[in-house]
Amino acid sequence: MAFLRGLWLIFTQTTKELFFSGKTLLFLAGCGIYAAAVALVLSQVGDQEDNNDLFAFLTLGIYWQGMLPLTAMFFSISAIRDEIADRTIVFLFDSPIPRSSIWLGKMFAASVVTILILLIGYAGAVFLATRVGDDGHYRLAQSTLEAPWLPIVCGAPAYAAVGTLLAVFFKRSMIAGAIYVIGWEQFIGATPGQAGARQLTVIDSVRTMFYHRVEEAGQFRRAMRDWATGGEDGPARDAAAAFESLLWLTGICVALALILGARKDYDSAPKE
Amino acid sequence: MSPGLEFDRVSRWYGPVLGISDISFRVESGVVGLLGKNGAGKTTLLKLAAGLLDASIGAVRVFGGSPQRLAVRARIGICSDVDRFYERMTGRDWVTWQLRLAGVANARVRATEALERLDMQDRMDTRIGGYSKGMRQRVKLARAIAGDADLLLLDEPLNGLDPVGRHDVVKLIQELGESGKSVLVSSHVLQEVEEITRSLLLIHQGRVLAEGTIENIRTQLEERAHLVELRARDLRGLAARIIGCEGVEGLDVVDGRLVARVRDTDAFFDEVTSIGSDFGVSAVVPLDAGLEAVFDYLVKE
Repeated sequence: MAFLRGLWLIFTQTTKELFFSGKTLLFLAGCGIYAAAVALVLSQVGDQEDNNDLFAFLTLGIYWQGMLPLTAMFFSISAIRDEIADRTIVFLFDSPIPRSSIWLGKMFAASVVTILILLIGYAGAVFLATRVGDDGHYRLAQSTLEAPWLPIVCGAPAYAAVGTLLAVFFKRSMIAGAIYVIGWEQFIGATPGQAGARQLTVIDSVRTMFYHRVEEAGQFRRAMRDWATGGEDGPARDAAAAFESLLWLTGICVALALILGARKDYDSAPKE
Repeated sequence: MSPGLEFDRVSRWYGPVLGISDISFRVESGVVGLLGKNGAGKTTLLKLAAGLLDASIGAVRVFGGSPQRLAVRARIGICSDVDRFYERMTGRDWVTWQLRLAGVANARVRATEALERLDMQDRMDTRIGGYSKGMRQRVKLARAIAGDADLLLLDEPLNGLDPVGRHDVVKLIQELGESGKSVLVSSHVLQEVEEITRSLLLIHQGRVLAEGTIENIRTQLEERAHLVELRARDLRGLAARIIGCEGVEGLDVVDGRLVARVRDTDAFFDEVTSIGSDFGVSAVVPLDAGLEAVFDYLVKE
C-alpha cells in the first residue's frame, strides 16, 4: 500500500515538475528542428515514391538515434539527480514509503514526459510532412506514419530505466549518460549483427521494431535488412524478440537501480 | 513500554571519518536538547534516529523497532536542516502532499491546522519560492507536527525565525513535550536549547559528553569549584567570615563584588543565608550554573 501510494504521488508530482520545466521547451525545440528538417527534405527532394523512405531514414537518424535516447536519459537522470543536488530528496527518504517507489515513480514520470515530448514532435513532423509539395496532397503511406508509435512507447521506458540506474549509482550521472548514449549505444549498436552484442543496446531493439513496421517494398526496409540480419540472407530478428530484449534490458536496469539505491546514502558528508 | 528513541552503543563512520562513536542514550516522553558544536555529530545522530543512515555498529530503536521499518517511520515527525522545497508549490500544498505520502488521513485539513498553529494562515497559499527563511522553517515544522507523530526529530528548528516566531516555536515544542511526545531538538546555540528544555544530551566530536538536566550535569563536575557572586554592604567583613568556611576554595573581589570558588554549593548557600543579615548581603548569584559554562567545562575536559 505504501509502495503504491508513494509510486503514484511521486510519479504525478515528478511528471508535473518535469513537463512544466524549461527543459521541456528545450527538447520540444529539438523536436521542432526534426519536424522542420523532415518537411524541408521532403519538399526539396521528395516525390511520391521516395517520401516514405526519406521520412523513415530521417526519423531513424534524428529521432530514434538522437532525440529518443537523449530525452529519456536526460529526464530520467534529471528527475533524480536534481533532487539529490537540491537535497529535497531527503523529504522523500524520510517519508514512510519504500525507496523503490521513489525510483520507479521518477522513472515512469521521465518515460511519460519523454513519450509526450516525442509524440508532440512527431505529430508536428507528420503534420508538416503531409502538407509539403506543390499540391499539398497526402504523400506518406499510413504504415510509415504509424511505424514510430510503438518504438517510442517501448524505447522511452527502456532508456529511462538505464538513466535511473545511472542516476542512482553515479554522482556524475549526466556524464555517464552521455557516455552511454554516444559511446555504448552508437558503438555497440553499430557492431555486426552476427556478434549478438547489439542486443545489449536499446537502439537495436527500437530499430528492429521500426524495421518491421515500415513498408515492406521500400528502399528503407531493404537497406535496413542487411543491418538487421548482419549482412546475411537469414531472417531478421522479429519484433517480438526485440521487444523481449527490451524488456530484459529494462528489467535488469530497474532491478539493479532498486538494489543499489535501496540504502545508499546520498548525503554522506556530515552537514552541520 | 519501549522508549521513544534508544541508541545502544551506536557508532557510525563515513569511510575513515568518524561521525559518532559508541553513543548510548534514551529519549522517553518530553523534550531533550541535543547540543553540540558544528561537526559534533548532531545531524548524523538525527539521521540515524530517522532511519536515513545505517549504524556501523550498535542498534537504534524507535518505540522498540528499527526506524527503517515503514510502520515505525510513520510514527516519526522530522524537521530536517534542508532548506529546499518544490518551490512552485504553496506551503499548504507541500505539507498536504507530504502528509499524503505518509498516508495520513484528511491530509489537507491536518496541513491547514498545522500551518495555522505555526501562524502561517495568511501565507499558506503563497508559493514557497516567495517565502522568507522563517516561513520556510515554519512550513518544515508544520510538516513534522501535522501527522501527529509520537517521536519528533527537530534539527535546528529555530533557525531563521524572528524573536516572536522563536518564542512561539519554543512554546510549541514545550507543549509537544508536555503532551507526552518524545522530542529531540538539536542546536549548536546554547541559549536556544536552554530556552526550550532543561534535559540535555551534549555531544562533542561524535561522543556523548554528558546527559541529563543542566543541574545534574553541573553536579557531575564535582571536582571543579562553582563560582558564586556575592553583593553585600560589608564586603570585607563577609569575605573574612566565609574564607574559613568548609568547601570554600578561594575568594576574589571584582568591581565591588565578591566571587567565591565553592566546592559544596548547598552548604555554602546555607552558611550565607545564616550570616547574610550581619553583613548586608543583597545578592547571591551562581555564575556558572548556565549551560554555556557547563558546556565549556565539559569540552575543555
